[in-house]
Amino acid sequence: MSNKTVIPFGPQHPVLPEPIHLDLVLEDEKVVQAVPQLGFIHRGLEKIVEKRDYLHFVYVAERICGICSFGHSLGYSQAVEGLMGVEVPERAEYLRDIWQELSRIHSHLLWLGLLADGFGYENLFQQAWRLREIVLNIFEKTTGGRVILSVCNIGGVNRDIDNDELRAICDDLDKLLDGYKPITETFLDDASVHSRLDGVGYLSKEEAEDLSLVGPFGRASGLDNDIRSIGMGAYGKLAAFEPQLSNIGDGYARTEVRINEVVQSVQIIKELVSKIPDGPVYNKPKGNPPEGRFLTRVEQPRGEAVYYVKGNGSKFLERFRVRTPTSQNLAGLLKILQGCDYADVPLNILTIDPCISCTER
Amino acid sequence: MGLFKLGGVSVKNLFSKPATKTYPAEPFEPYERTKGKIVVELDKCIFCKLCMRGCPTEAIDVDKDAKLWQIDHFLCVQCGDCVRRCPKSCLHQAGMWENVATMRQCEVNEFAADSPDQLVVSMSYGQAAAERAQKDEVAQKRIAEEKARKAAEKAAKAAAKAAAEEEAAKAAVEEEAAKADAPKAEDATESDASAAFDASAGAAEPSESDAPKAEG
Amino acid sequence: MDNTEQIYKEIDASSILSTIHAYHDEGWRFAQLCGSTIEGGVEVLYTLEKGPVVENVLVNLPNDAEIPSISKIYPASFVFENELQDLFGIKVNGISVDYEGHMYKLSVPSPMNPKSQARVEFAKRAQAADQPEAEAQADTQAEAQAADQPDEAQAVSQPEAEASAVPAGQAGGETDEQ
Repeated sequence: MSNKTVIPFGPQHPVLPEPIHLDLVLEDEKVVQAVPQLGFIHRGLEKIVEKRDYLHFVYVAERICGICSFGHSLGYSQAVEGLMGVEVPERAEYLRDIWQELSRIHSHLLWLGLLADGFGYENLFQQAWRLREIVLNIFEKTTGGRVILSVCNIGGVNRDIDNDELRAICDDLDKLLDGYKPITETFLDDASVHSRLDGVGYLSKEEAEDLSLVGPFGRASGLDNDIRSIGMGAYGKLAAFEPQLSNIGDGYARTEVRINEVVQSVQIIKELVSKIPDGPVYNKPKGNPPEGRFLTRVEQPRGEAVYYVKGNGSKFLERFRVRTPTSQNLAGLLKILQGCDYADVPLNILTIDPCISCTER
Repeated sequence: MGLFKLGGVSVKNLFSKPATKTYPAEPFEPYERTKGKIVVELDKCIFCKLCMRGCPTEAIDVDKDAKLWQIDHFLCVQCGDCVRRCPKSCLHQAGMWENVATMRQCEVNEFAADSPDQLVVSMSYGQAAAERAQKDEVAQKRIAEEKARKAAEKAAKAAAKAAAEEEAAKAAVEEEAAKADAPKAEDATESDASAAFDASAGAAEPSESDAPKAEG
Repeated sequence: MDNTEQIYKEIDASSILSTIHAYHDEGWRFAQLCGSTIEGGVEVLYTLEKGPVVENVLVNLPNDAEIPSISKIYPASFVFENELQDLFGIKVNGISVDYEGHMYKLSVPSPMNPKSQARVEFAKRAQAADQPEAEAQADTQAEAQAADQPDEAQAVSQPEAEASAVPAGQAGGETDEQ
């Protein structure tokens, strides 16, 4: 007896950070089915790898996405280094991981702002982004760029940060944590935020495992999928690393996991700064990538990203493939959209932290 | 749970300075490493073309005979590769990038024709297509030269290998002819020399993984 | 440095479902599904992981092959299987959310696999449609053969991104064949 209406959501929408199109099939304010449509921001970057020198392609790879830009250049460099067998100096690995953790902090702060904007709390949105400026200034001081860093390269990093600057970074991050407390209190305790996030988009641990979720989206349901636990690079030198998990499984839990990850990232950076060794930061690669294949993984702020390269002996790589976390989480998104209220659709989309420019390269 | 958790911060912000700067009224102060426009010191430049080879977008063009260094700022992505590669450190990133134009243009740095000490910086308008065609010609010439050089090297290597094999055959014949004699010392040095030549020729081209190493 | 051991197992197209089922029953997580163009066909790579261990399963397929879908086992794979259908011309049977080749709005069918049947038919149709196509193709082929070095990204880019004029897409598509 109920009518079914189809409402198009996106790709241009004030609440969406990235262009994704969803056709929502509604039955009286409840979403019965959602059909996604991708491709608005597809640039064919995987095809460009056949036309650009493998040393120059790192600058293309970091432009796959603006928020997780450093992670993509890190993943590409790691994959080609594994293929060619290039040794990365130890100091470079520490610096890379420091920048990757800073990237995680700025991405989570950006997401917190967008989530607040999603339910209309603009003041909270601007406060979160004001804190993010501290991290962007650190990026600019150390690498020259705020969003696109151009600092990770095959064989190491292009720039060094001396130890005094590293200590100054730790002081800046302390100031960030001071300003961070009122924001986390609002997110976790405020009644209006609770009413929007509690119970929205619930997924149990079995469902999360079935859907192979990655990133904080899966960790909020209790799934341990953090690649940093494996200990690649400088993460292996940390005294202890426990991924942030929660077993509540709804939108509130995903917010809590990301909030805790920011604090954990600051602690990781401090530990890495205290342990960083001295030495060179770049080891120039020689020759061309040999024939072969290599697959590596990086923990991006949104989850685990898989990088696969295939070489054929020339200076152009044969294949470069990025499996980004959001493309893996799309199945989970469709699952939480089924049966939710129409007013909760933007929040559900935001809690998976979509990065569509990564998905569609 | 509470209400108006952000109240304290909001009231404090009412009475403090805004977080934004009124640019362009307030000047922008870049950090020491901030990326920006690529600037060249032409008197230090030796026109070695390393920056041109390293540029991922081919924004730089260098002409050694005309002592010209030009860059298309719209193609440049400020990656800093040229700045790192320059052997004379004559390239810098200016920390600001304010490029406004109505047509595609290149910034050309050259010395004035009448007084070679005077640096002239000009913008060439509407030549993008012509430049690209010229780059293609230059590129095609370069490719033909590379191919000729590689063919010559291969021929030289084949000749050396043939010579080495001849030597080895002669040496084998000599060995059989005069048994417990000293010619063995001579053979060793000859085959060592040809082996060294092969090894060095092979090392000169690291991209060819199947270079015939010391077979002789 | 990534020191994970790289394991690649080659299997037949007929044993895809049974192999993936075995992995699923042992608790492995699905990581990715990717296609690459090789001589004479497409190579499909399934990646599964469990903690620090990563195992890859390779399947070599001829052009326009048909394979079963694993989206009943791992629902997260439907995005990648649709991508395989769109970009490589491999038919995947039984995807849970099947776009039937229209997930990406492409102007040239199966652009990553220039030898697939869909691509050949499209080229024939375009050639028959208007003759200037043949000249444009010959020009771009000569250009692409002469220029060994990387072109500007615009010249060779994404025939699938811009649903622009067909000659542009066709020319871009032809250069991809080089």
